[in-house]
Amino acid sequence: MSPDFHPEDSKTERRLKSLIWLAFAVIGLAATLFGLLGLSNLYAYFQKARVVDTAINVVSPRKTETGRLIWLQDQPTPRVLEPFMRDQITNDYRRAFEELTYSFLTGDQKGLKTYYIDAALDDALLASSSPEKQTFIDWDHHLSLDFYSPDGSVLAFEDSYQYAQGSRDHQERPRIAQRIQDVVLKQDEGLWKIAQWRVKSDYEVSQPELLFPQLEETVRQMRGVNYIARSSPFNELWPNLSLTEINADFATLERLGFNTVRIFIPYPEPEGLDKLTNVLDIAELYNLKVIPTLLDTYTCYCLEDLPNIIAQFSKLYELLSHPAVVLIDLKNEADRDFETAGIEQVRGFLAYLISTLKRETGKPITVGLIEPDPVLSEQIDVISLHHYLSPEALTPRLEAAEVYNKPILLEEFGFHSWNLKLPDPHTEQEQAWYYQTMLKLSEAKQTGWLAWTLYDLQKGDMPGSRDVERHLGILKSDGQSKEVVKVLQGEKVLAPSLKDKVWKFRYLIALMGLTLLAATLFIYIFKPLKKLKKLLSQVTRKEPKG
Amino acid sequence: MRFIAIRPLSLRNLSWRKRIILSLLGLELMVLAGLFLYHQFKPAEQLLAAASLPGPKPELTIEIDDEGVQFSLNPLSTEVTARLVLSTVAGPYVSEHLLNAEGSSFSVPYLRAGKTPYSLELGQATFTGTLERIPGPAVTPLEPLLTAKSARVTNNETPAVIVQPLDKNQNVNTNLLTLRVVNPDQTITETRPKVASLYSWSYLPPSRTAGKQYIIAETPSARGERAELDLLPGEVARADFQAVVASAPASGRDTWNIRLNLPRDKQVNRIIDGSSILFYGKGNGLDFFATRPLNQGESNLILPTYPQAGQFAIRSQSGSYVSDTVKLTALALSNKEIAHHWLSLQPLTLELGPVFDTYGAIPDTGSEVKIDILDEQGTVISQLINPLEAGKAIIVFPPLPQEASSLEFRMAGELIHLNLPDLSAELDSEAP
Repeated sequence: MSPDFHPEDSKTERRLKSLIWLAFAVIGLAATLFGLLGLSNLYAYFQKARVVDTAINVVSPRKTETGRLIWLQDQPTPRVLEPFMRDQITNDYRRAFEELTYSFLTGDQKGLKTYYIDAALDDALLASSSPEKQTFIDWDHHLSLDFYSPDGSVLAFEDSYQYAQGSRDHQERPRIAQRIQDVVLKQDEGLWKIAQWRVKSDYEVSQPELLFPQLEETVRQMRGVNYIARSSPFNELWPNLSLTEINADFATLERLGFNTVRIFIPYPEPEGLDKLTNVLDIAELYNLKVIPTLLDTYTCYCLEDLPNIIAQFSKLYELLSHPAVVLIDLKNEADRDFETAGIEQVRGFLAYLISTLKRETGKPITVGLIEPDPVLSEQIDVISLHHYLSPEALTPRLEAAEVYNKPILLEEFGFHSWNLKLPDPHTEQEQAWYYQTMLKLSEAKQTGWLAWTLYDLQKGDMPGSRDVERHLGILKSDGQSKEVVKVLQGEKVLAPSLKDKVWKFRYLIALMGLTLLAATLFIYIFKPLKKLKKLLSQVTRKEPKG
Repeated sequence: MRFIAIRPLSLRNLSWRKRIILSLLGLELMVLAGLFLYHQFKPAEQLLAAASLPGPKPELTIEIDDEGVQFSLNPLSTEVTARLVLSTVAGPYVSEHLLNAEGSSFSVPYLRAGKTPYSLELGQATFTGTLERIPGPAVTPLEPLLTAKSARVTNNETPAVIVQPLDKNQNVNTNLLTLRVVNPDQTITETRPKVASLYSWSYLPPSRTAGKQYIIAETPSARGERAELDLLPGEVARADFQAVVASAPASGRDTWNIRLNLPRDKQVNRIIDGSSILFYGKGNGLDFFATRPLNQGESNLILPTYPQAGQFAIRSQSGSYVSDTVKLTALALSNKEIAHHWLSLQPLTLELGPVFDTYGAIPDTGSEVKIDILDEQGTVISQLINPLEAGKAIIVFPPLPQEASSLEFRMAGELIHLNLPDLSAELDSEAP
C-alpha cells in the first residue's frame, strides 16, 4: 500500500464512479423513454397520414357517383329555383356530406365550418368528436324542394337518403338505414350551408314481403352446373367473353340434360358486363335457368363501398329481372370472409343488400355458404350449401339445413379426376361414383343441385393457384366426356374396386419405385467411390522421414 | 474431479454499487414493460367488465332535457361499462360510460330535435330504440327575416317574411306563430303562418298607402324585434304634362319650357322626389331625349328652340307611363324675304342680309347660316356653315361640284332656296 493512499480516497472514488453510473443509467432511461415517445409519435404520424389517405380515397371517388343525388318534383315555392342555383346547391350539399364523412374518418373537423352553420354545425362537431371513430357513409339522396325564399337566400327541402354507420374494426353489426329529414340551407359566404335539420323518420331497410310459391318446386328440380368458361376462366370471363363459346357451352348443357346454370359477376364491375343480357338470352334459348352470383371476388364488406355497389346493382336490376334469372346469389361463400371481414359486418352488409336486391328485382335471393349461417339464413329465400366433403357427410348437413324451413340447394359440389394429385389422386371412375352417390343422396332429400363444373380447365389462373381446380369438370377440356357423363345420362357405374383404388396410386408407386432405384444406385455408386478415395489416399501418403 | 462452485445469487454477494445499477435496470425494465402491458391489458379489462352483467336485465329509462339525453339503468349490482351509439342527424355519436350500482345513469349532450335511433350495450344486454326530442318553447328574440328592405305598393307580389321560432337549443318550434303587420295607414293585419319544413313564411299583406310597414312576430313564449319595410309609391300612372313656354322664335337662342307636374302612382300616392323623368322629341328634325329628376313634385325641361320655324311634338315618360303629346312652336324670325346679292361669280360670292328678328333687332353676331348645296334631284351633295356678322353674311363658295344645281339657306328659322347663277354671266355691274 502506497504511503499516500488513504481508505477515504478509495471510498470517494467509488462513490464518484457510482454517481457516474447512476447518471448514465438515468440518462439511458430518459433516452429510452424519449426514444419510445418519438417512435410512437412517428407511428401516430404515419397512421394519421394513412387514415387521411384512406379518407381521401373514400371521399374523392364518391363525387362522381351516379344517382347519388336526385331532385324530385318541387313543391310550390314563392320563387322558382333557377337551374344554375340548383346545381350550386347540389354541389354544396354533396360536399357537406363528403366533409362529414371525411371528418368521421380522420377526426379532422376543420372543414366542417365551411359547409355547416348554426345548429347543424353544432351537431356535426359533436358527432365527429366521438372518442370512438366510426364510418359514416350516405348515398341515394332524393331531394324535394319545399321552400325557396323570394330573395334567394334561404332554402328548405326534404331529403330522403340511405346511410351506413359502423365501427372501423368491423366487430359490430353496422346500421344501414333509410332516413328522411328536413333540411334548411342558408347562403353564407357564397356557399349554401346546412343550417338546420331534423330527422322525421329513420328505419333500417327491411325486406319486402314477397312470396315465391313456386320456388320450392323450382329449386327441387334444379339440375345444373357452375359455369366457368374454358377459354377465359374465372375473372377473365367478362372482358374476353365469347358469345359463340357461351352458345356452344349452353347447348352442351341442354344436351347433357341440365336445366340450370350458375354464372359469376365480379365486383368491381368488369369490362364486358354489358353482354350479360346476351348471355341470359342464350340461356333462355336453351331452356336454362340462370343463377347469377354477384359480388364475386369481393371480400372487404367495407361500408364505404356500399354506394358504388348499389350503383353497380342499379345497372343490373333490369337485367336481373330477366325471365331466365330464377334466383340471385348475392355472394359466393360469404362465410369464408367471416374471420377477415368480421362476422357481424358481413351479416349486416349482406342483409341490407338482400333486402335491396329483392325489392328492386322481385327475385328470390340466396347467399352461397359453406355452412348455413343462422342470421343470414333468416334473410334469404333459398339455403345454398356447398359440399366438397365425403358423400356420407352430406345427409347430416342437409338435415341440419332443414331447420330453416326453406328450400335447400346443393349449390356446389364436385370431385376432381386428377390422377397426379398427391397425396389424393382420383380417377374418372371415382369421380363418376362420387356423382352417383351425391345425386342419389340429394334425390333422396329432394334437393336441387349444381355441379362444379362443366369443363376441365387448361388455360388461365386458378383461384389460390390450386391446380386441382383444373380437373373438376364433367367434360375434359377438349370437350370429350368423362365417365361421370354416364351418371348424368342415367347409367349406373360401379363403385371403385380394390384394383381401382390401388391402380390410382400407380403414379405414386412408380415415383416411389424410381426414388428407391435412385437411392440404391447412389449407394452402389457411392461405396466404390469411397473405396477409390481410400485407395488414392494410401497411394499418395508420404513415407515418414528417417 | 473438479466441482464448479456455484455461488447462490444473492444481493448480499453484490456490492452496493451493483445493487443500485441492478435496481435501476430493473426499474427501467418495469417501466418499459408497463408501457406495453398497459395498452395490452386495458381492452381486456373492458371486455371483462362488459361481459359480466350478473343479475336480471336492468330497466332503461331515457329522459330528454335541456342539457341532453339522460340514460338511466336500474338496478345494477356491479360496475359495468355502457356503450352508447346514437345515430344522430350528423352521423353516429359513440360514447362509453362506466356505471356503478350507486350512480347508474349518464348523459350525452345531444340536443337536436327529431328522431334519433340509439343502441346501448351493457354487457351482453343490448337496448335499441328510437328517441324523439320535441322542440321546446320558442325563445326571445324571434328574428323575422324580410326578403326585401323596400317594396312598391303597387306591385302585385309583396315581399315575404320568414321566421324560424327557435328554442334555446336552436330547434325549430312548430307551434303557433302570429305575425302582426302594421300598415302605413295604421291598419293592422294578423296572420298565423304554419311552421313547416323547419320554416314559417308568409307574404306580407298589400298596402294601398306608401310609408313604413312594421312586422311583429310572436309566439306564446317569445317575441321578436320589429321589422320594417319601406313601402314606396309605384310607378307614375298619371301626371300633368304641359309646356309652360310652348312658342318661341326659332333662333336657337330662345327656349321652350316643358314641365311634368304632380305625378302619382295608380294608388294616388305621390311619386317620390328623385325619380327620373324622360323627355323626348321625335320627328321633324327634333330627335332628342333628356332625363330630369323629379324635384318637389315636378320636373322641368328648358329646351332651346329648333333653328327652323315649325311645330314639334314632345312627350314625357317614366316607367310604363307615357304622357300625351305637347306641341311646341318655333317661330320664323321675319316675314320679309331676306335680301341676297351675288357679289361675284369668280370666286362665287353671295351677300345675305341684313336680317331682322320679330322684334326688329339683328340676330347675334356668330349665329349660324347653314348652306346646303343640292344637285338637280335635290340631294345634298355638300354643306357649308357661315356666321352672321352685324346681321349680314358674306359667303365665299369654294369651287362647286359640276352637278351642283341649287342652294338652300337655313337661318333664323327661315329657309331660302336659290338657284345657282349662270356662271358664264358677268355680275360686276350688280355688285354693290
